Amino acid sequence: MGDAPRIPPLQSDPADEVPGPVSPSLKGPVPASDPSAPTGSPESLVKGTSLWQDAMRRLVRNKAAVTGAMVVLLMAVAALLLEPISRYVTRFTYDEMHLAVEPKPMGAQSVPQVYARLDDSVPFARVDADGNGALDAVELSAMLQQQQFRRYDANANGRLDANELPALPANAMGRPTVEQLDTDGDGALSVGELGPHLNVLPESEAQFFIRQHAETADESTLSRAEYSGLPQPETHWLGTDPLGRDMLTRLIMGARVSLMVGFIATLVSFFIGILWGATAGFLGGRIDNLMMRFVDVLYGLPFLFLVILLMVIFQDIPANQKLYLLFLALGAVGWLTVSRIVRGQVISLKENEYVEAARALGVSKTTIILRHLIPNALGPIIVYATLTVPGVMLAEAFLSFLGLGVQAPYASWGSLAADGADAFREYPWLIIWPGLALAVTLLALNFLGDGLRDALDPQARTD
Amino acid sequence: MFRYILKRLVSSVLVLVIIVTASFFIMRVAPGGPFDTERSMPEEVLQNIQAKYNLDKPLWQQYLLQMKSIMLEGDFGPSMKYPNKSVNDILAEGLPVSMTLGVQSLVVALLIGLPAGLIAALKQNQWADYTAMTGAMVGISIPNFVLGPILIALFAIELPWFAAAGWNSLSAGLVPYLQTSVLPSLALGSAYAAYVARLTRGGMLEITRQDYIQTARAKGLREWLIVRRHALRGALIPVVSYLGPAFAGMLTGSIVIEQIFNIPGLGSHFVNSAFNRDYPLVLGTIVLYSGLLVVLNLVVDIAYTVLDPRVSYEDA
Repeated sequence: MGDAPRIPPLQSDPADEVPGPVSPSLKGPVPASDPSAPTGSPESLVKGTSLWQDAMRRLVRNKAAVTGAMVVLLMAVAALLLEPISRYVTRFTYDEMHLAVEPKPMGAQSVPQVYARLDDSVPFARVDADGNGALDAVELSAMLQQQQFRRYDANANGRLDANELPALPANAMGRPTVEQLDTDGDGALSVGELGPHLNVLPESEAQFFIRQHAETADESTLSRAEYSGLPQPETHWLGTDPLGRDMLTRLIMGARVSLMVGFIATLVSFFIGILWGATAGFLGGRIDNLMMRFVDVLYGLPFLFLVILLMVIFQDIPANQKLYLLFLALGAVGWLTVSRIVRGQVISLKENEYVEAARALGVSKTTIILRHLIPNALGPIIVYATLTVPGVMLAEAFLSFLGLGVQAPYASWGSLAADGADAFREYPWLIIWPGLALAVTLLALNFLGDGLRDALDPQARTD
Repeated sequence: MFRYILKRLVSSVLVLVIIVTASFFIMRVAPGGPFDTERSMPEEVLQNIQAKYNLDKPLWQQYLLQMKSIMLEGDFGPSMKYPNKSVNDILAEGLPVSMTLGVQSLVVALLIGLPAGLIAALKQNQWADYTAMTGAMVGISIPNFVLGPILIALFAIELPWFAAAGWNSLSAGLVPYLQTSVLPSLALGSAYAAYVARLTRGGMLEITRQDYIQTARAKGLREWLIVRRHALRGALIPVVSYLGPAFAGMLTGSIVIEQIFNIPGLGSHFVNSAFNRDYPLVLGTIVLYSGLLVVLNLVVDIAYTVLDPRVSYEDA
């Protein structure tokens, strides 16, 4: 500990350090003189720091918590910006498929179906190999293969030799070697020999591109007028899933769904829990007893089993309704603990001297609740909320992994991991990326929650 | 104490009744029935089958019949999907496997979590503490369905030490048993090991601030003796109280782990029976799971009094 030698006799746990009297003038470096010396203005003696300022300072000092907050924020921003990211960064939409025999590995390329950039430097005549004035899928596909080939043909001799091959991204069939594919035995590979390894625009997808750009009734070819450029391949930075959908874009879609479920389901459980707990705490007496007994009994229920049952039963409802069901079902799991916490808070706060003082001063009931009770009860609730979100996200991932959560075309990190779990031996990235995204976000939320607890509610630390 | 246990038993039965009722009606509200997927059968056959399973009676009668046979006879009736087997038989096959997996995961959680938490507490704010606690945080954050495949990739495929899937019971010999059970119980237990470590550390730190520990120190007792005789008992109370929820989590987690490691336990029955609308089997698995949970929670609460004489249930 860096600050241990300064005050050797004390325990050196920084979280336990009690801040001394602090005046508002204490913004910069600590002045050498005693801040509470009589030379200070009288105001600086009276004005303390609020609970929230104190907590904020403690939180900012906690590096793990700050890092966690930043990671969560980053994920949330990415999730919000899915459409622009998909349009301008990854250039793939989350549901477009680029069918290959097997999932494409990291660094492989495809021609995007929606947001393809067109390269108009390639003249129509060069693409139109048979010179009949119309481009068909075969010609487009072949042209893109040649383009790919030229990209890797460093010495431009029309052959890829053993030195040039390593630049070629390994595709589903692995990294091609000269020995494997050299059918004419000249020690290097031609476009024809490499064939499928260069295929970024299969004929079916070329057909789709042509249909998109065709303006006349003939949708199987492009005329000179309709042709405005050759679509350019883009890179799948994190590979694709088994259906050839871009993993990075899907991960961001997954972030949207996973975070949304995590936060909204937590909100739901807090809504129920706060209502229930506050009512019980305020009313007290027999009603309180009855309400909390009910909570006690429900506590013994294995809720997640009922949720599984519910999700199985409502398997076939539309994807967006299923999302609402998830919010409700997962929200129903967490409210019990919330109601206990809130009730405890309400009961202990009701009896506090400052509430009595406020009442004696004639402060109205609403003002007491708004200005005194809620701000003071909020600390533990915020802390518990932050620690609930990762739990809910994990539960959602668990359900999606069983095939009971969100469904295509939506994706959550859990459903992505489930897609990859069957084939992770051959294609480890299918489970590693969603697993990593989930683990990093949960870790960040847990660190943030821990930090918030240390900052807002230091006495609640039980583990 | 006796009154407390009685009271808890009553509320446990109440919980089971709620569970059975809730699952029964959730299942019946759902579209589809157990015999929908069969090729279209003659009307008389269908009626006969429905009569056999009481499906022709009004819903409330079915509910009461079902409830009576479960509560009074412990009989869940015949499975609707596996006509030759009773639900009790199916459960009896899967339970030992799931229980073994659960218990072994609990052992893993304690075997890793307790020492880690203890070391972290004794070396508070030293590198061992930071390592253990960061490790625990990472352990909590990695979902078991991600950890499972990673473990398989590392220790069943890269290093062929363990089996990638399947299950050998202990009667097949210790080595075959361990080959199939170590990886799933690691995958299932590690998150709980992380919680146990955090709770142990917290409990130890709390206890060592108590006066009686200071007294023991002042007497000049050796540190290890203080830990063993005085501190550990109190420090373990939060851990013991966590075992109930931990076990509940492991039960649910086992559904996924059994799927990943292809283990013939109860987990697959639970999800599949719900898919198949095999009503009796759904109720059977869910009652079994809840029953286990309820009993374990009771055991944990009683263990509480043994560990902590301050806790008394006389007036509860």
